Amino acid sequence: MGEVDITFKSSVPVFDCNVSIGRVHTRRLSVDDSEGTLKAMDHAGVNKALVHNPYGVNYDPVDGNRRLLESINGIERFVPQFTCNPATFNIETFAKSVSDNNIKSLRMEPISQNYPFVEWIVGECMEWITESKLTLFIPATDINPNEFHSVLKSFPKSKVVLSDLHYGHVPWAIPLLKSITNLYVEISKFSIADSIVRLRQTVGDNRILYGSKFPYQPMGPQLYSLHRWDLNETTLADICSNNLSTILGQ
Amino acid sequence: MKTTVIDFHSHVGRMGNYNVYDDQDWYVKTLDDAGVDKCFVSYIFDGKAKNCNDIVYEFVQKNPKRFGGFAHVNPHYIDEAIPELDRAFNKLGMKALKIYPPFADYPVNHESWYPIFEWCNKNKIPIKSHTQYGPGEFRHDYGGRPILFIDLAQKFPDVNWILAHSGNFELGRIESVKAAQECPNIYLETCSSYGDHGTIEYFVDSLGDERILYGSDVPLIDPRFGVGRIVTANISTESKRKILGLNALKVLNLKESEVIG
Repeated sequence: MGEVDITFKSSVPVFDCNVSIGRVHTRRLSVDDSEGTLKAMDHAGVNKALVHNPYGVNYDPVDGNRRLLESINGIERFVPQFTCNPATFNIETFAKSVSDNNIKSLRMEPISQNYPFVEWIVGECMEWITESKLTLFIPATDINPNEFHSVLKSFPKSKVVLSDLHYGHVPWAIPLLKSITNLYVEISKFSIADSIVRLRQTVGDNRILYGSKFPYQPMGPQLYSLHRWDLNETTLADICSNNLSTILGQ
Repeated sequence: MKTTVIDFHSHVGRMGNYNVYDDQDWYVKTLDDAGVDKCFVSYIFDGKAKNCNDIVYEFVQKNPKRFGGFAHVNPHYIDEAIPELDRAFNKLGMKALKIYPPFADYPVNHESWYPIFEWCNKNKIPIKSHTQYGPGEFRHDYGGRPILFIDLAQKFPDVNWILAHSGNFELGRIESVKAAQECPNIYLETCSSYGDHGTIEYFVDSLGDERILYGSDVPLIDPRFGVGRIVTANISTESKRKILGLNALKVLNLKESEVIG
């Protein structure tokens, strides 16, 4: 008879690296505020979350980032992630805002924000991100793999996380992860058969980050899955929280 | 906790474009690791249904304790479909029919499907159909739009209709629940790579826990993830047990001993 853990709780601390707080126009989300997100974190056993605001992607990074800080209102379980649009922003102003708010990670969504991820647009920003030791998150759905590969090859000391990886991305994403050794991978949507085995073989244990893509996905399933791969506690803790803490310098 | 776990949605066949395969030793180990007792597989990729069903039969015969088969037919070859249904269920021992409307390129309520549905209705065969309805490119009837199943469930009342993926997207899930609320012979199946936070809870709150079936989509989606969607949902332990396997026993008319031995 099937042995499943119906009352599952994580055995290690959990730091979710892919959480969105805020409303969108296109639908009514099941959770769109801090209070609901905290409840979901408690239910799933998630201690901390790296959070961004969808307004920053969909309309305006400055207003979105301001709304983000207002919505998390100093709650320590939330770590803010600023949205960045290197095609339109003023880098000095943005850098000051990042520094003033002690921001450690940024988010770019090039296709959603209608610019190509190419060096003549993002190069200056990538230099600043690399020098500032910030971590950049970019969804796999928002890049041209060839452009992405070219830029990252030029910034071998940058810390970049490829998020939202889906089984449909496997034909190009696995070679990309092999080729770019400073590229990390977030696993919220990577549920293909043998998913964790594939990633461990491709990038090792320290470039894999647990994320949920909450509220567009629940926090629990990938966390439960991670506990069923016979990972030792050290590896499990690295993937569930330590790797993220390390790259954020926390 | 030990509980019966039946995967209602899995596949056999190579899918090399995603670098996933169906080696049976791997499959069994994966089911063991995920805690799945039995897995019902189909093969839907060949336009010649006989080939599909032969592949499933051969796969299941290697380990009938852990695997069961769902048949597949092609509505564009209706002259072959009816004899193939007879062969699949009366000779090969299939337990349900899997249809995939996106391949057919016309809606699931098109009359071309009717001879197939009439045969299943007469023989009380469950039909599991791919369903989806959502934003952008998915907003059309051709993918197995859930609302279309209301009419089918009423026209063919002796079929238990299983909506694979439960519509896959938010709009599809809303339609799936509406269809199941209207028709007692419609069931929701859980596998999806698009399920929002609260999806399983929404199904249980809207429909109760008796007509929801766990599915994974192995090998495209790992069963650990699929089981995790049920296990970590904010629903009762008894509801989780029903969704994971007890409901499937009833739909497929199986005894627990046939699954867990």
